[in-house]
Amino acid sequence: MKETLRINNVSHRYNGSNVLEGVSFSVSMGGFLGVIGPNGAGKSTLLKVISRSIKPDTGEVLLDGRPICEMKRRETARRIAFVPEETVVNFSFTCRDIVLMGRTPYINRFSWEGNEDYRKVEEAMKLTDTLKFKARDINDLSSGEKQRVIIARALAQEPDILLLDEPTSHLDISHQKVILDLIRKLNRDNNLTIITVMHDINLAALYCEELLFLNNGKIYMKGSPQELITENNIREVYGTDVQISRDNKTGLPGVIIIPGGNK
Amino acid sequence: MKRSNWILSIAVLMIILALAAYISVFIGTVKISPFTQWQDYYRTIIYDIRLPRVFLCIIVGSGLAVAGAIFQGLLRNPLADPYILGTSSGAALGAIIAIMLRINMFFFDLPLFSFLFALLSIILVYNIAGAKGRTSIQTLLLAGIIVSSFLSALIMLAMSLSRRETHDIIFWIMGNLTENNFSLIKIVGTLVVSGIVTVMFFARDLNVMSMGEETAGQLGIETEKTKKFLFIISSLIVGAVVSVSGMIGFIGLIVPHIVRMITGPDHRILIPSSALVGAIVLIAADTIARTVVAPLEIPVGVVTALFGAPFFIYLLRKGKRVSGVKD
Repeated sequence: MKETLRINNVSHRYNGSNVLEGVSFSVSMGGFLGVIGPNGAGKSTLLKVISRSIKPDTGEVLLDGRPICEMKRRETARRIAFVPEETVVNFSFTCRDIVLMGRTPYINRFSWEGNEDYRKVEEAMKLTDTLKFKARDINDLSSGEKQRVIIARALAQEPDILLLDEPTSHLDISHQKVILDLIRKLNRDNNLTIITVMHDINLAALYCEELLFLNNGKIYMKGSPQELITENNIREVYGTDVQISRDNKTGLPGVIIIPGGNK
Repeated sequence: MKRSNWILSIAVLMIILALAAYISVFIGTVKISPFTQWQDYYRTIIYDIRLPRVFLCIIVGSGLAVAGAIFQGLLRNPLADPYILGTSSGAALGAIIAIMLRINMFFFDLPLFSFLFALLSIILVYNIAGAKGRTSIQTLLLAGIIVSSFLSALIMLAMSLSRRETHDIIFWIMGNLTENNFSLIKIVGTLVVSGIVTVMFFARDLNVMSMGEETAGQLGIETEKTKKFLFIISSLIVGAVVSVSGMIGFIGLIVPHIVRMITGPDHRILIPSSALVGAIVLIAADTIARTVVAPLEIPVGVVTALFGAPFFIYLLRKGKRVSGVKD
């Protein structure tokens, strides 16, 4: 498969301690990569580096072989979209206004959005099942609905790569499923490359094709959920004894916490 | 508000502004009616005193309101405004320094010094509050209050050092619309109008910037450049306005707030509407200021503060949902 994104030896320090240390990996077109690891492992920082919110101290991110920091932001915004963990909107924009902001990298300063932009917005809202919220104030939606609007905004950017930072951590189980099913559908039907930070290892195992296990700012392992999620690896990285159950058919692992235990 | 109603609302506001200006010109200590025979000196009162004053109101009111709208969008904070964040104090201090040093550059001295000091105070507040990340509203307001009181102390210091110019300095502290130097008004008017027009081309960027800098960058905005540019433009507007009218508070805070309730938060309609409503509100405040205790006149800054401060408290208390104010 064609490689689209390459992270090249990225290191970043924050307040004197290493958050990322010599991280290198690549993502192929159409892949679905989950980033897991304990709190403070550098997962979110890694996404921030890829989305250009942070310029790493050393190393670079290459998009089709070109360093992203040399591109205009408009250019990267057409290729890479970002969905944060939670979105705070201080003004009462309608959902359609919010999704329309995804068209920013396509609209010239001296012109207004055109029919093409409205069509893309409509398409993105249809895909995320948010058309019914079109005229509603974004702040009146539940967090799950809001997250879908933000995903619609990302889709309006027509990106090749969608970055998500713990997109479901604030949601209940039914909304978690809705969002992750949506992301999986976008990955399969629209060939969108997905890189998502996942808090929940079980959900990561169920949805991601490939996992990147970060620990202390370094890559601990990269591989399929089946080979990566083992009792040994979890113990070594999280320092917790767990029991792993495996699905008979798919071999997908599920992590079961052992209450109390004897650490 | 629907996009199709934008032009209509601008037209309505323009009519209200014209009416307000017309009425204001005929209200005052000397009763002049547009319908009866004019005395000779009525002409002088209307054309040389009241009309320039209405123009000044329009320039100052629209400038302050637009600067407030820019601040609120850029800082993602519906309670930001050039007065509360100390930008006006900075501009006033700049003007006072220009006077004390007797700098004379053909009418440009006051606006220029006001602009430089306004810019300086914005940068100061912004850095103290650490507004780059997600700053809480309290932190930002605190930083504004601190910078503002520091600047006020410097203004007081300047006052105590120079006895001769004390009267001129008081002019800046209380807000005043008696400036009748038409050359200065013209320069300031040009600056304010070109500032507002320029900002209009950044209205969509402001929408995106109000989502936060990180998100704006991910959506393709060159955030650093845009932010710097908009801070410079708003300092220019505030500097120009303060150099002719002193520190008039609360217009920049309240006007964009009221307008947002009607037009919604899109800066493409918010900015021009705020300019018009700012002008209308200041004409009203000034008419009150020069008529309630006629023939005496109270500084217009006193009027805006008397109405504005309670409204500010109301906004703070009304809370997080309706006005969208979040901690």
